[in-house]
Amino acid sequence: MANIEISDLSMSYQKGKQILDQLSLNIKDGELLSILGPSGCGKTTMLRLISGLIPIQKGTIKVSGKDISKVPVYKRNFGMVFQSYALFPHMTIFQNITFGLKRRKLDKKTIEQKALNILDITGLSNLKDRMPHELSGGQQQRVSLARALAINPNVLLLDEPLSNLDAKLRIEMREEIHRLQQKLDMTTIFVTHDQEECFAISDRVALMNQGQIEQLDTPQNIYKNPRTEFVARFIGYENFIPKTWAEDQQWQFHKEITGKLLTIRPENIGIGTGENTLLGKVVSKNFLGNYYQYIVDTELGILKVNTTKDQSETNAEITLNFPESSLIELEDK
Amino acid sequence: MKRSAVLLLSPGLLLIIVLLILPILQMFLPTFVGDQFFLEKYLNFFHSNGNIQVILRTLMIAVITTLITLSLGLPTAYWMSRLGDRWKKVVSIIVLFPILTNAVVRNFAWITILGKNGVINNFLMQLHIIDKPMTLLYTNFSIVIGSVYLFLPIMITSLVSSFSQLNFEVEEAASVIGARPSIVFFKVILPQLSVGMLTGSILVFVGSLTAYTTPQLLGGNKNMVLATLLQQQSITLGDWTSASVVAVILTVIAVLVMTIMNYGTKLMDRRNAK
Repeated sequence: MANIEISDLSMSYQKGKQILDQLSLNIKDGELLSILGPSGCGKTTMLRLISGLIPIQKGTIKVSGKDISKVPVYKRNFGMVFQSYALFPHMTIFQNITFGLKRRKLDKKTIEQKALNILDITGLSNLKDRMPHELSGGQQQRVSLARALAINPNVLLLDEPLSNLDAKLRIEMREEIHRLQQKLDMTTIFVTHDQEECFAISDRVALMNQGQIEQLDTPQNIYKNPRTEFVARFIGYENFIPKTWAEDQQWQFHKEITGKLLTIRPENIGIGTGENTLLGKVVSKNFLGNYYQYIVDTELGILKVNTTKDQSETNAEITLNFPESSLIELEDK
Repeated sequence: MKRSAVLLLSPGLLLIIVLLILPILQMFLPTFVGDQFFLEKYLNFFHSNGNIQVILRTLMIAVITTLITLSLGLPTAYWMSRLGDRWKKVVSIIVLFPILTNAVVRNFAWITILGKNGVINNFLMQLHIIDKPMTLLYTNFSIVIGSVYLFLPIMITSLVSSFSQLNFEVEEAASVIGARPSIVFFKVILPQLSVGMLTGSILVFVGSLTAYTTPQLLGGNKNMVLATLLQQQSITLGDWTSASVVAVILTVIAVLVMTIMNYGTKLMDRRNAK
């Protein structure tokens, strides 16, 4: 279908606030790429620049090798799904879906056929004569997706499409998006602030911070090897160990550590003696279903330790160990 | 419970019956009494070309006023709906300000602007664009100008509320899937505004249909509308029955138009209900 090359994209508002800072990114044909980041990191701005809803200030965006910077939004042949569903409230579901098709020079029969086909694929056939306000949030978002896909777009853009849905629907809907994306082999950009939904369905994730991409990788690699402290914190690392401190403690490292900061996942901290130990006092113990979480007060501050076994009580002194293989070093930024 | 409700209601009810319903009946009933036929007085009224002209002029002024306020109000309301909260408040106050001044005073302002020695004529004559003053005052044109000025704030207010319910993402969704700006406006924005447009139109139409001060002061005696005709029949000529005939006709037209437009609003509302 289409690959996208974004190079040196910059964007700032009049007051000098830099929204995007020389951002470059390539999205492969048929790939589902997520843009993940906290609010205000520039992810929505980037999507709107790609869609053409806001004009490009600096940099270029190429789709299948063709520069689209000057192409108006309505000629780009993209599909977009919005957080607020953004259905046409005065049209039936069927009219919503045929709206984009009618803007293309197609005969009536083809339009109807295509619309019925997409209704079938998205499981909306029985709702086609309803009005948007008669549908539930999940159904409305499904219609919004169908409307975007009906025009057979080059690229599908999803702007936080799941944020307005409740937890159960969110999972259902993200599976649906993934299924359709795979089935139609559609190049897709998925903007979200939710790590879990993004990891579940993405081929690659671009984690953004302050207008720049902090890390671009597969979900597994980002999870296992966060590159910077920002990435680590964003995806849920909570225990941080300064390198100089570790050296003062005479922790043993077999390879050279270059970064200033180390991190470790709560479940990788061992309880009891082992390599690289640290004493601490249990502040509280929480039972969280399939594991216990110990909040431990140490010389490094509060650390979180997850373990499947109930090994200690509140106020007890415990020894923690930090196996070198589980310590992740973070790049300085 | 029923009895206490009746008791509570009775003073107000009595007041309305004695002071409103009875006088109306007293006014309307004689118009349906004739020597041969109960609609005789109405037939006589419609027999006169002058009267027909008055009705047509009244309707025409109301329709034109509605259309002009609608077309001036739409862009203004659109612009207002996109302002920030603070500026929206400031502009709303500016828009509503004319309503706070007395209608007679506002119409006198137009007399000094449109008159033979008025601002416009003086200005154009001093620039030698015209040699002798144009007749702007005491025409249908001046009535329409005055009415538009009078009713524009009402139209803008009803449109703004309907614009502010628009979701801008809906317009964006339309343009992303291929709608050029004109299509977005006519197929996406305008249909969503239909309720506000109808509400505003009803208010302006019925308002200018029954307006008295503006046609009286800016229209003069030659350009009569139903309201000024009514005044002439009753106060000037003292022919209260003829005046009542005019009143009934005016009421029927107003109620008829309101019913039709209300029905239209309901249809639209049902379609757009959220």
